Amino acid sequence: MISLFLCDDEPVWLDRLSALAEEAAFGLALEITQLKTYTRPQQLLDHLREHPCSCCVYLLDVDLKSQISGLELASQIRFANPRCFILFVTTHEEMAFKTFEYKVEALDYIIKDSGSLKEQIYRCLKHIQDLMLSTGAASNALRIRSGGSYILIPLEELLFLETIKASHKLLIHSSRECAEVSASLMEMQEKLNDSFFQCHKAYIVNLKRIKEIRRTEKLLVMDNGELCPCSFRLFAETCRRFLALQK
Amino acid sequence: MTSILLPVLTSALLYISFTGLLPESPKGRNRLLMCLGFFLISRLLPERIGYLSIPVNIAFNVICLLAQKKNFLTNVVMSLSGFLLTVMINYIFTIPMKYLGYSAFTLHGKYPLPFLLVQIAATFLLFCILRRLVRVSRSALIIKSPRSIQLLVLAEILISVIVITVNIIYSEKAGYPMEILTYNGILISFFVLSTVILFYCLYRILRKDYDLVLKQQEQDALNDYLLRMESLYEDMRLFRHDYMNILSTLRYYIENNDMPALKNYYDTKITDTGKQLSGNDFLIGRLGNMKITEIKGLLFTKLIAAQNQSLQISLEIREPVCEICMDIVKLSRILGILLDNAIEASSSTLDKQLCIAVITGEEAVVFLIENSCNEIPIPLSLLMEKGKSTKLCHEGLGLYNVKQITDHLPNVFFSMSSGSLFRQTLEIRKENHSYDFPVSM
Repeated sequence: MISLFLCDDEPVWLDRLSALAEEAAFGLALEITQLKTYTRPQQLLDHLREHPCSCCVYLLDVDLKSQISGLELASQIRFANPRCFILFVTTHEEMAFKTFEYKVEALDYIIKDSGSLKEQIYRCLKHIQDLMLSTGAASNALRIRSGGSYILIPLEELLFLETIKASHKLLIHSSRECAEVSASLMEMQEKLNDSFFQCHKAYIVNLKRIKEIRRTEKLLVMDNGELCPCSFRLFAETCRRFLALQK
Repeated sequence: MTSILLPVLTSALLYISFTGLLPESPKGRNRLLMCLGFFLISRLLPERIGYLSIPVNIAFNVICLLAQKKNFLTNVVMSLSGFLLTVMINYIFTIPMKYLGYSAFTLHGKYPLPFLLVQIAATFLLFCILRRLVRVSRSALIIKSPRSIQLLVLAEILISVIVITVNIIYSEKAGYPMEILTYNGILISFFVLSTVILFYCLYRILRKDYDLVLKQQEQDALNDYLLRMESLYEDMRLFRHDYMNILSTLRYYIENNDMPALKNYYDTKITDTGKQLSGNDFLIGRLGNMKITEIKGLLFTKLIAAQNQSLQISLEIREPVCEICMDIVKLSRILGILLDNAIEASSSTLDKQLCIAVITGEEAVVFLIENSCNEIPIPLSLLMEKGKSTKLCHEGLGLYNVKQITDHLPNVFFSMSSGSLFRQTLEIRKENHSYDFPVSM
């Protein structure tokens, strides 16, 4: 069940997109509880202020020929609704999906001057449907601010956190990522659970992902092959906690 | 006891003097072998062949450098320069010692212990100071200069070393009378000093030259860019012309209500014109928003390289980028490495995708580079270590160098992630920004 909001300065497109969206939703057995179209972004924002909506889908034209651009409109919507779905409608020339994705967490896009509008809308709605079905099983994740956007890392993917001394940055090692952020180990420790332990002045390790401990070199070997150092002082405690977690 | 201690100290002195000015001092086994070699030479040879052990030491040093293979020319020049400076120090200390009544020394005679210790300390100190002043790693510039200059530098050093060595050997044969010693000392110090000054001037000139070469490359890239822009403009002009014609033809068919002809005209003429307009050259126009010329030139060069590899490229620079809170030379270096890696990785895949986005926000400017890639066999953070690479037989220095730069910049953040596409993110935060609590669940 979704509410669909469209905003495009040309009514022709609004009609066309609404029709195609209804068709696609029917094909996916997805119910559209309400569908509203606007030619001016301010109207959409006013409506949202009076009727806040969670779990809505927004189809926004990038070039609205108004004071508020499609991107600004999206960022205001995103600010109010962290969990809604934003899709951009644009021409091939104007497309800058990585930028949209980065700035407002846009989900998908539709290109106007491409032949297969119907397939594109179908694909977008299916994407939304899949996401809605899987959100139920959301596991614990770390959401960190990084350069104007957020990165999301599920806790079980975290391997260890490393401080970079010279510049006070934090390097996050995870299964699929290696990300530098501006944070301190102390700030992070508060947000992590007990399976994380600070095994060194500059490292916090995920005990669940240690594969073996090398006693002589005081190194923790993670299950993907990476090595995490352990300080002399904290070595015994680290081993103890690791073994405790094994049971 | 002294028969062991003196050669040990002498070999230490020789080791310091030959390796003190090297860009990269020998490691581990090489270091051990060199010290052992010097020790054996100092222990066994002076009694038998006297001062000819000096050229033996020099030759041994050159052989060790040859075995290292890397940067042979630079290493030879720097280590022989170290040797010359040591000789100069030796003379500086010998002369007062001689006045104080100590007997004459050679570089490989039986030194009294205190003299040897003082010389080691003085040499070590001098080299530490020099390393600070000149930043010896820059001596690698010698490699980048033209062949003729390289040979001249090498010849100068070799001649100096030969002259000084011969001087030492024959002065010693004559017994080092006081006057010769003093005059020798003054002349040699003068000679070595002037050689050092000469080399320093040469270093400055080479650096300027290198900067000019870089500037020239940037200029060439921008010129190429201008040419492309002009040809794009020409394409645009022709298109407008066609467009006007098409519109008037359409108007004609509409006025005459001639639907079949209209349909036919649309299907044949218009879709053709549409095809003209797509293509990678239009991407290059997007560089207009990158207002920093060095980066514009760099991106342009890399885009052309990517085109040559037939990659599917997408470039996004939606907002103008005028200012970046980071040294542009370092940024160029990092972006160059990241883009080269992305282009190379992408060209060996089937998809051949490459996406570059420059995103400006309130807090930071972000460079996003995504490319299709084959399976990466090692964990991502290990890619940033020296010697690790996804390519076979490759040095793996690129990302290591990037990390070296970013580790010392508190407002620059480099991240990588792998998934369907490999993504590299370089975030440069704007300086005067205070951050909210960055972590949440």
